[in-house]
Amino acid sequence: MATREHYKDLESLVVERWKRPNALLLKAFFSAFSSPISVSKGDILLDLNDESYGLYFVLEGVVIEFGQDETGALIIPQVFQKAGLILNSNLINPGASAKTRYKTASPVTYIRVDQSVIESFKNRDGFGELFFTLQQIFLHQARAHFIHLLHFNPIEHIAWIHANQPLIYTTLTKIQLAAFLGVSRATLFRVLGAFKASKAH
Amino acid sequence: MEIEGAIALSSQFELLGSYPRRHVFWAPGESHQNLYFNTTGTLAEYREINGKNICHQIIPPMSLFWSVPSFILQENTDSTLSFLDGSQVYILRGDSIRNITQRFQLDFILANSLSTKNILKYEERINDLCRLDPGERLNKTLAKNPNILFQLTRVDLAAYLNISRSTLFRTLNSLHRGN
Repeated sequence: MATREHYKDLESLVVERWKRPNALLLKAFFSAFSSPISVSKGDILLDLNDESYGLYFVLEGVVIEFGQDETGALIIPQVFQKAGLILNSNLINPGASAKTRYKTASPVTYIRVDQSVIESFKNRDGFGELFFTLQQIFLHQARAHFIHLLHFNPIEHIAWIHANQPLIYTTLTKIQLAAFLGVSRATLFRVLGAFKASKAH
Repeated sequence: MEIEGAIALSSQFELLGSYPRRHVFWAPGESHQNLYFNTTGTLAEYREINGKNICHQIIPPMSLFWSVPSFILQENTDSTLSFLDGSQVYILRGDSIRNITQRFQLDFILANSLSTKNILKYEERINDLCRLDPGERLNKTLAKNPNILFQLTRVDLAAYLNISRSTLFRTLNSLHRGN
């Protein structure tokens, strides 16, 4: 069972979005999260076609969402680090099993709540609003990455990741970084060269 | 109860007005805690970040639209929404939504459903930007919005697709040649 020390970052994210939070419900829900689970690099949190709908909250480390296009090329729609909230699309879109795989890119510690717990909370007063708040957090993550993709050129994007998400910069391989930025490997190497040169001046 | 609630919600839509091309429907810093239905026209939502004003979303005819920050997140709008061609818009006011939600005990069903649509929309756009090459991005956009070439400037279309102008022109040329 998670203690407040484990879920306090998630609680902060929820409370800053929920104007009149139901304190009792929140405490019960957060307490239903697991104790911290530590896994090594390469562990799979959610696999392709997974139909479960648990929630994962990253305490430490980096988790990559992996996908593939029709040609087998790598896609990385999102990368999660400390305070990242992961949910299977089946949770928000029932019947849609996972189309991507969530895999750790470093040793990771996380807390999770299983679907049986979510089921047991579904009919409780206020859970609809709590779930709405969790969706807002997830939406905020996706929207932020979309905005970075659209508004930053690749050099600006690398510079932003380097400054704000250094663990992602140092943990992802070059191939993964290129997929996350939506550029080819050749472009990434040019961009990294230009970025390093700009830092040297 | 949910179906009755949905019927009650749809019966509360009222005509808000007819708007000409280029009319700005909302601008940053406004409150629009309503749900809207766009009839025959097309709208484009722009956001200015780092001095770059980029079209994030195209709202096609016969579709619902709402401000994510204002309607879902209860903040002010952070974008500019304008008409690419004339259209009539219907409104479902926030007060009506709250009343019906309470009367039919819909709880957060509507809010959660719209949030889900937003999440899926952003996931799709992220996938398109990372997965599709410029030609595929353009083809997908044209398949959804056949008139977009006449409605958005080439500069705006290139920014929406996250490609350079020269790549857009090359892609358009090869499209015209049927390659």
